[in-house]
Amino acid sequence: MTETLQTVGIDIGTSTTSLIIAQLTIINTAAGFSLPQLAISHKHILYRSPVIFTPLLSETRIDAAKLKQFVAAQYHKAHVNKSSFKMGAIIMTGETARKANADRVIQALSKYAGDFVCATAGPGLESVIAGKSAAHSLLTQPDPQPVINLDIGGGTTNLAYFVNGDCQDTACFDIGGRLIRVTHGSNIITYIAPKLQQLITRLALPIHLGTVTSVKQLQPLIDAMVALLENTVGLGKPVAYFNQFITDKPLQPVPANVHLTFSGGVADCLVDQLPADPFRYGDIGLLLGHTLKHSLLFKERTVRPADETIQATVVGAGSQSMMLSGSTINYDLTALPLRNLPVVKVQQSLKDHSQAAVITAIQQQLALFDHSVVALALGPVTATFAGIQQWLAIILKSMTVVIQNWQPLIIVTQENVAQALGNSLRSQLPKNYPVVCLDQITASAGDYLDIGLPVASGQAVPVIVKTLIFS
Amino acid sequence: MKLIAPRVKPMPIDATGSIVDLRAVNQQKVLTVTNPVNAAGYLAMKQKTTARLGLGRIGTRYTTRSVLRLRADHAAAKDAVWTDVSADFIHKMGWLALQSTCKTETEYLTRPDHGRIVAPTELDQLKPAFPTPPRVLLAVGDGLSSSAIEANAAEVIPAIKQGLALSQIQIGTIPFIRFARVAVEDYLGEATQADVVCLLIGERPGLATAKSMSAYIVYRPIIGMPEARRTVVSNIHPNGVPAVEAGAYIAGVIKEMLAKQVSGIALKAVE
Repeated sequence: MTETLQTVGIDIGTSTTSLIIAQLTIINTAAGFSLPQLAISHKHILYRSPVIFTPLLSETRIDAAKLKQFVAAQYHKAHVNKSSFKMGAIIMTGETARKANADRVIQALSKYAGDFVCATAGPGLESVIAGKSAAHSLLTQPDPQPVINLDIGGGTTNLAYFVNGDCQDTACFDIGGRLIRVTHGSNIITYIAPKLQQLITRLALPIHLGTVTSVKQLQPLIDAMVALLENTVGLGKPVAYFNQFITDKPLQPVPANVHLTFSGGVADCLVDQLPADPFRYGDIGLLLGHTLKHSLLFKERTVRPADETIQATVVGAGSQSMMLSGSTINYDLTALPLRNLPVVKVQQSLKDHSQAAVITAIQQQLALFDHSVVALALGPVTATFAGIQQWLAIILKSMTVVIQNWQPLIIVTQENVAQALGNSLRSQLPKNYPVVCLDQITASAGDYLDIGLPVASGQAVPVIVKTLIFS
Repeated sequence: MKLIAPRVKPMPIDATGSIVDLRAVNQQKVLTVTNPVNAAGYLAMKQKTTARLGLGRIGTRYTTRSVLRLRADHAAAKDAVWTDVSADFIHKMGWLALQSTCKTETEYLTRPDHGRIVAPTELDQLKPAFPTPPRVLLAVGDGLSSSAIEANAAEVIPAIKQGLALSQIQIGTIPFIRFARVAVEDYLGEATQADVVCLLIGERPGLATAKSMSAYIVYRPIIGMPEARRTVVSNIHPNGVPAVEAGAYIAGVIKEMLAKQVSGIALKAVE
């Protein structure tokens, strides 16, 4: 059995926005007489939009109407419409996610882009999906070596550290190619990001808004930015301003002896020689790229070619963000699709905690979500009939209010037990009660889930585990 | 002449001083190659297969430990064939004990045709349990691995029953057939006139696992029917598909057969 489905990815970054359309192939990887095991086997990009500047109404507001026009125009060119997609993701990243109307714009745009296109935001998620598409061929070879991808965009640098092909840690720093903007031709500084202004003041550099600048004048600042990037992967002398540039967190611990890949717009600027007009993009991207190329990152680490550069994030959003939960799962079709489900993670294992303690812990967490529909991600489940009945009792006792309100009961596990657990739940709940039980899904507290409509003749459902971090 | 003492690592022993069962070690997590260039990568590769990779060598030969492990696994496979499902286990599970026309283990191994037949006198013991034809008859056969049955049946059966109960299908008496080959289910089907017969049977043991069980499921089986009418769910064992999840899946397959009134290749065709 082979089935293909189309997905869309849209990346709204600090400086640029782009869109891709991908085709994913789903196959049954299990041997003929075993239980089916569905997996995404191929990811093929059907269409890439041009990269445009992210439309803004002001420094603090995104131009939603222009974004909609862009999406509509690209769909038209690619001969698709919003009903073409079974799944998709819009990711809002970098400084754009901090704009005043970011949350509203992305939710509205996700509905406009397709019924199953979900909204995502957050530096950790961006790091992972950009890294997965930039280092794709390194990560999918039979014996993947440890690698860190640095996705250097306009406003932020996202790091993702992969071991054996899986993301181990992420980091994000406020370093990017468009933190200073310069008019092309006259070389006048038109914008300095607040954090960079602090650094300029700290280093007492003669760089001022509204004045004419040069490569020579900017170089000490660029060197300071690159020194910080060297620090992020454990190279060079520690800089005093390191902590001020951390967006969410640094890598902890910083791994030694890993290969590096670069993506993001600045990855296209890693030049040996500066071109004649270094401000041709109206920013410091080329300067940053040129300095990086001569930095310790290239001297003391092996830099491997990336599969994707400026479009790594958007390709990741379209092709790497989705997982399949199948093929022995249990769901009520009427409950699907589901969007933006907050994850309530059960941390406690039944080995170390009593049933009562686990129930109390779940109820405390549920109270935080004010009885909205949530996805309950179970801790380690022993894959035995008795083990499942224990969790059944816990779910029924801790989610009494949900059940009284006839809200869909959504349970996800890592272990392959969803169909058995779903049957157990159904045996205790009223007939036709909406139950969705999915397995082989790893989700943590703070994540959100989007669950699409079933694929592969109903044997699997597409799931996106995501974050929604604005501000 | 100066003799050099052989450098032999002692076998690990437990608290009582006995040698730890070689088979208790998960060989997929152990790499015995000396000085590997990339041990982590090799181990990651071993996780993906049950093949015995990375055993290392002494000169041109296998190490003693890997040869012993191979023989221990082979012995376990043979034991699984030559031992019976214990009477205690059959009693505990509440099964009705029957037997194929084979009289001995040797006859079972040398005469597969005898293992496919259940004598009318045996079937007469089963018939009173089903005065009216059941929708589903669940049966268990030892097949080639008794250990498979003891390892998995207690997990699979409650999950199958629970899945079927959701559609108001009850399971009655479960017959256990000693010295069973797959086709005994056709005799059970004809005797009870069940709509669907599901036989859980021990698979031929291999070196990777001796505890693998299959379910052979048929819609209205008839003696002498083509094998293509059977639907198989295989590889149910502790390191494969968890038995409880397999049970839930089997219940789903049975319900689909009842709805579409076909099984085997024909069931795939209507999907």
